[in-house]
Amino acid sequence: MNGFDFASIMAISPEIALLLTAIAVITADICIGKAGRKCCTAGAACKPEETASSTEISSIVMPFICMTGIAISWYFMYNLWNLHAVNGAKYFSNAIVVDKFGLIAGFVVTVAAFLTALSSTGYAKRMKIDFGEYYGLIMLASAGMMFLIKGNNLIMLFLGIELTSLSVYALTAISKHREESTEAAMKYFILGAFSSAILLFGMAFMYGATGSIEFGQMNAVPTNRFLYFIGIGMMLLGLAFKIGAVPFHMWAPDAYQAAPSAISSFMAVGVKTASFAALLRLLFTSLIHTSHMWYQVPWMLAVLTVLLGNLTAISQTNIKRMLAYSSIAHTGYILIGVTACMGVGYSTGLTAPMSSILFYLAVYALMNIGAFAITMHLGREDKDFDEISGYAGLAHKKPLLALAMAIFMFSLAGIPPMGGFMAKFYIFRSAIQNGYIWLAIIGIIGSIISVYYYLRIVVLMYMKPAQTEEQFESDQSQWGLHFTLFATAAGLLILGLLPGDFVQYAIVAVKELL
Amino acid sequence: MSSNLLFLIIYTLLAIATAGGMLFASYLLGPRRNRELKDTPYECGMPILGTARERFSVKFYLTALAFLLFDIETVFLIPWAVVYKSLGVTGLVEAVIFILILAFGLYYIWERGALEWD
Repeated sequence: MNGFDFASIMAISPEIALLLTAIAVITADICIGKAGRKCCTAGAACKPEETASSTEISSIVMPFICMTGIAISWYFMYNLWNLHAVNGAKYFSNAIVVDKFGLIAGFVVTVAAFLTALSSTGYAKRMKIDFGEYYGLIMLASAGMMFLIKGNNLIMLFLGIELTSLSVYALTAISKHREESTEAAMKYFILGAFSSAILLFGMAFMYGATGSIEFGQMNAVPTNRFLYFIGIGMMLLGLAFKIGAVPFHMWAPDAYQAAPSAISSFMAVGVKTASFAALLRLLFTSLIHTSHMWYQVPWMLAVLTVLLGNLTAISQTNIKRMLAYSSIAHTGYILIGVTACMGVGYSTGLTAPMSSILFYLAVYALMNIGAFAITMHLGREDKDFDEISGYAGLAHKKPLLALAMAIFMFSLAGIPPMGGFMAKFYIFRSAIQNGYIWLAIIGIIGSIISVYYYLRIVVLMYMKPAQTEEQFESDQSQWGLHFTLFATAAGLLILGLLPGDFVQYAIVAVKELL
Repeated sequence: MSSNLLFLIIYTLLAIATAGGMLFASYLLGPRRNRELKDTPYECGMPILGTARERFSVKFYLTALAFLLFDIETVFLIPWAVVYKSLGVTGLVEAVIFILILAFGLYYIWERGALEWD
């Protein structure tokens, strides 16, 4: 289907909804926020109460436009899910593929965007980042992630990565008045631009070696092995940077620490989910037939990422930095799942690891967003609550908040009955089933190390006295964050106790891809 | 070795010899009067006013970015105009969507005051 017909438009309708939302939210900012902004630039000649009311309205309206847009895009995704009994229909000269795998990954990404917008209701105003661009860039980044997930050739893959990354670089620097934010964004941007260039160069090599850029067409036996393996290596490097795998992880702690927490969690969850989905699609449509020759590369990446991520997280005193290293470690666990798929060829052996990766990504999204939402909830003025020692005594002052934090920490550590346990269980089980026993053992050692630094926070919250009396008083409207915390904690418990339904969906989705 | 390549080598050697000879001749024959003015970047041009690493207004960046946007628009629209007839209504609709998105961008930077110099 090469034309501009109705079916093609429907195929990208969720993305169109997100892009139009981005435009709508910026327009809303221009129209509503106009009075307030004029006052700010004109300086003395403004009535403060007028400014306050207009920013008050826009800081409520803009997240709602975002959430409405995402809800509309969910509706379109639901339609596509039901529509496509025909699996893997391709549109726009085979550039876009619609399948259930992409829809599930896209759903995880948009849930992350939804929760980010929801938790930004009071938060963005307090952090002085409630511009239309903040919400617009979140929407653009999610649209980029959706294109990344749906892309069926290397060009779409690159375009999706660039749209996502450029938006996220700008979002990292969104607190313009904070120096470390600008610095981290600059680091992230320069390293990211390098990795994008290397990824693009690898794509050129792949095209040279296989004569195609389309997924599923590249699995001819390579005529020039040298070009082919250099291409695979460079593409893996580029994607490993995006998912934050060791040794390409150095940007992550700085960027996660300096960005506002809402953005850190969106970055960690959205970019990771989309990049892993694209990596899996690339791997299993195009590269799997040679994977017995190079599965050692992701094997090594997984081992390094699990061990270094967990060991470095121990010594952190800043919780956002600690969560950044923990997110690196979680990349490692997912890479164990990726490696478990390799070297077994096309078979039913692929279903278990791939569906477990999807499950892991969903669980990871919930627990990470939840943990970052706590730092947003307790923060004051334009800071996040990010000193680990500051959590001492939280349970005595705010028991519900401490309970939520404990749920997220237990889940991140992988302790039943939270979702994190089932996610790790599925991943390690699939690794063992496919013969990667040592990989599973290293993964389990990694999670045992991680128990220390996750539970340290729980110990602080429940068994230590508070440092000062009023440190947990917050000064913002919190209902958005309350809802986010409730949704993520409840989701983790549900996925931990009743994982069957989601796993069934994931298996259906993955079977379509194979 | 083909004779074509031989000519190329002779040509390259001649070029190097000519250029090198001129430089060497000026080194041998040229007068050497070292003054401060000799060390400035533009010996016969304007006198230097301060360093090159000066901070300048962010408005230049904004203008450059807006320019780039509409530059790219031209790059896309000229090939479109060439094959306009064979693309038909589909092409027209696509171009209109493209221009509308850019027009929104223009409206946005206009409202945000990026086009105002003061």
